[in-house]
Amino acid sequence: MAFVELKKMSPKAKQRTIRLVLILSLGTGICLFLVGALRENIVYFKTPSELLVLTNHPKKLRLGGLVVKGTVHSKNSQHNFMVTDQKTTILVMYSGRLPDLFRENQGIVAIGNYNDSKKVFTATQLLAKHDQYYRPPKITY
Amino acid sequence: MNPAQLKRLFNAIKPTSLWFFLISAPIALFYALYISPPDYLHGDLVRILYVHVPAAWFAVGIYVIMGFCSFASLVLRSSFYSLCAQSLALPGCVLTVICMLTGAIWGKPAWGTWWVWDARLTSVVVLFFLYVGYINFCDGALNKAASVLNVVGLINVPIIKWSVDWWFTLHQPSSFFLTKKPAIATEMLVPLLLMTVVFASWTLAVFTRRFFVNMEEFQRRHSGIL
Repeated sequence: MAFVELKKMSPKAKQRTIRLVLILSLGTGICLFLVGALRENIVYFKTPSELLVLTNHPKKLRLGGLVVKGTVHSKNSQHNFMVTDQKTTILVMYSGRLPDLFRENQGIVAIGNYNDSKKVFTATQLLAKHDQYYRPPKITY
Repeated sequence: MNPAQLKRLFNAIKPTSLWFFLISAPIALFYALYISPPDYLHGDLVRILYVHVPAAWFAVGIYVIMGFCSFASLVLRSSFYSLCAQSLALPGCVLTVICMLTGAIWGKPAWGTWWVWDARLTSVVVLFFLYVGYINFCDGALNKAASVLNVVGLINVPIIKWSVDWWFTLHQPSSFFLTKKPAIATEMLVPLLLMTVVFASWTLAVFTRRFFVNMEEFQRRHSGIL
């Protein structure tokens, strides 16, 4: 394209190109720095392992992980199950309607608080997480 | 290609893209809504994907192309490239809104919420505001402020793309890989690609029309040729 042919550019246009590229790379640098500095705060949820190393637990936090197979026990609308990141497992208690995509071995994000002495995460809201695989039913992909 | 050649190309694309859109849309929708199978997990909900994903691709893709045009307009002091970017802004903004709306409609039954402030969704909101800001700053001829905003806003693009890999998000990662075959079964890939063609031809049809309207407006105001 015409605008990338540096040789044909007038000296002024060349100068403007260099200036713009400099501004852009400076902006990118600042953004990368900010993103790096905010890394911890940008994550939407914490894994069970990350949750357990926290010393003081905030009133509201988000716990994400896989629902361990065979641990889901439901009575009326009271559900409890284990959530794991393959290293650490935490018991989650939740009362309310389960999301449609809630399955064993599927990812979930539980929003609530963790009781350190009882070792129980009480969720007030439950979000289902799904993976990027799409396929028709009963076909191994 | 120089501006004169590009203008001839836009003129040729103008009627073709509209016909392409009108013919491909019913075929693609028939595939997406009727022929393609339901998903093992999402059931019929997966059909939202055929609108949501192409809208997202083009929302970001158009922004990148606009960025190149704005860059060229700033460097070459060219009204032509500025008009190109301006004519792309509206379809890009509309597609961003479609992407967010269909995402919310999908999110409510699938995730259990219309909206979360995770890294992917938040960076797409930033994209939406960049579009709105650009359109707001548009002043027809050589809109320097809008162009600078557009070029600086390009930094947001890699953040959108890799947000799902860099951070834990509720949004799942991309189903498309550089080296592996996609994580979508072929029966579902076909309607997705058909819908991509529909969105591409719609974008071209709107872009070319807006371009010539903007150009006439520009020529009337400046009583000159581009």
